[in-house]
Amino acid sequence: MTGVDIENRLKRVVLDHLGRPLPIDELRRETSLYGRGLGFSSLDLVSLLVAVEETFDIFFDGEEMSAAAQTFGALLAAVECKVNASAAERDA
Amino acid sequence: MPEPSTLHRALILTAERSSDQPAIIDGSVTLGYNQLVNAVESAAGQLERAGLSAGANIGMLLPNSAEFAIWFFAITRLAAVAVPLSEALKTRELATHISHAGVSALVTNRALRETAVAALTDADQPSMPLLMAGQESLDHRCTARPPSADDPALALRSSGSTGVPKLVMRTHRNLLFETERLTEALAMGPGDRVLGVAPFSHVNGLMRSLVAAVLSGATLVTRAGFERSDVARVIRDQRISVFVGVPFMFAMLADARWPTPVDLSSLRLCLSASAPLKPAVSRRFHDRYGCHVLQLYGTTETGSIAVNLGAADALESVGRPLPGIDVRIVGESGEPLPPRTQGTIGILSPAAATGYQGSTEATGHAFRDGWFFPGDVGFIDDGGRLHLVGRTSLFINRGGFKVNPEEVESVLAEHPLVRDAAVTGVDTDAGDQRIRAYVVVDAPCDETALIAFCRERLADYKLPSTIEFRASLPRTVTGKLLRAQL
Repeated sequence: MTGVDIENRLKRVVLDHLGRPLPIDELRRETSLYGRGLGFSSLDLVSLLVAVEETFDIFFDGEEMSAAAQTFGALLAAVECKVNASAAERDA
Repeated sequence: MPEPSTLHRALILTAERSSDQPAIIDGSVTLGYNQLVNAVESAAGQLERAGLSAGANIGMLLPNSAEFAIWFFAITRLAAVAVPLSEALKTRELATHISHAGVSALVTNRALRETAVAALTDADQPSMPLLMAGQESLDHRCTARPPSADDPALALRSSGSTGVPKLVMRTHRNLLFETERLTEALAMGPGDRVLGVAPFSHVNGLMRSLVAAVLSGATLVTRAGFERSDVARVIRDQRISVFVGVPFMFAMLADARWPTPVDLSSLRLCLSASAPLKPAVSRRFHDRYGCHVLQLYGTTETGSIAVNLGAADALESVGRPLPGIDVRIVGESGEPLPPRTQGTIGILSPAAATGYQGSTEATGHAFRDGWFFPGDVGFIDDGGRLHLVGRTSLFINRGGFKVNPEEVESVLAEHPLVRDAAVTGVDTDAGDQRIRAYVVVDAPCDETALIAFCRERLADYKLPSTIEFRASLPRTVTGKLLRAQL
């Protein structure tokens, strides 16, 4: 899976989870997932991250979850890192 | 041997029986039963020196911790009343709670001190005594008379079946009755390790984890918040045998995509309360960890009512009433209904409060002829098991917290551009609900800004996940909101 594939797929998961229309272009790497960004509550963020795990077949540990649940860019970086690590494990 | 009649006496007797047992494990700190009793005496002495005495309502703004247990038993040792406050609440909500409960002193810790001071200022009580947990000194022993069985011990807020929050007072006798019946039914005692992760500021975590564990001689293992990896590690490392939680927690664990297998085989009993648990979640949890999650039914007003023990063939049920507690199903005129017939649930329990503090009308509505009617609808099956099929009240279940939609609506309505607002719950796969708000606005308004407006005024778990803009909301001619038509 390329970086662009991951980003597009992740955007779809986030937007589906948001439950309200948001043009995909408005979801930028610097967009905050909570507060004045997308406005997710802590419980929403947990269920978003579970949905991300299911989509990419990955797992976030507690601290990884906190680090990923900041901006869309942080989440994307965390997902890319996990997906690439899984791919490397499979290739080894 | 006569049964203890107060929490304080019960703690002393448990400590005598279990002096070699750890009472509480909080991170790297282990507190034995004798150490717990000493810490309770010291904390009660500090309360006394601060001028507090029997009957005072004392707020507790503390996370799940050994400190919470120490100060809960200290407050009740003084024959004062513990008023647990949720750390999830925002300043204004805390201030409202403090004022409503008539709190005359507040116990907190260093991490929450700033929040506590802000709440007291907002409540117009900036000079209220503030006691800091973690600074108990063995120099201050409590000299006050011990409490009596009928002294009030615990004040929790409940919204009952209607929206307005009310104060529920329960006595030592009430709390001990519940604890004894529950721990007997669960066979909880020395040797058990009980996970204390459900918030102690709510009846579920407080009574079914903290008080049940400590007064049965088990070991309470506290966690300040739920994070699935952390909880899984604690269950494995501490050999947790009893886990009382909420559906959200069990769903998170049942469906976690662990990178390596997780061993939770020490669990002998998992109980879910506060909201309905989907049987499928219980089965998935069992398939992975070998233990079904069973349902317990209780209310803030009555404490624990019924528990489904060992009935994996009836996972949707909340089980049979605990000994000494009567449950009946009644029709619209109050007539008892036969088994398998749906109706309003009524509860007769020596563990129940007898009314709402200072609210005669609400008391008359929910407490009738010694029975309490929580606003739940259910039926009893041929095996005597209770099944819940809905609530006549309008609360939203959000990760185990009950959210009053009217509270969220009133905050939305404070926004200068919002003319009308309505809030409902939308079911999720995890077995709880998300909050959806519908608003009518006078001018174009940004959804994110509205959520941010709520965030400043409401606890995180009360925030709408989505906001839908409507031209109007369905209301009757008298203005009553028609939620079903949203």
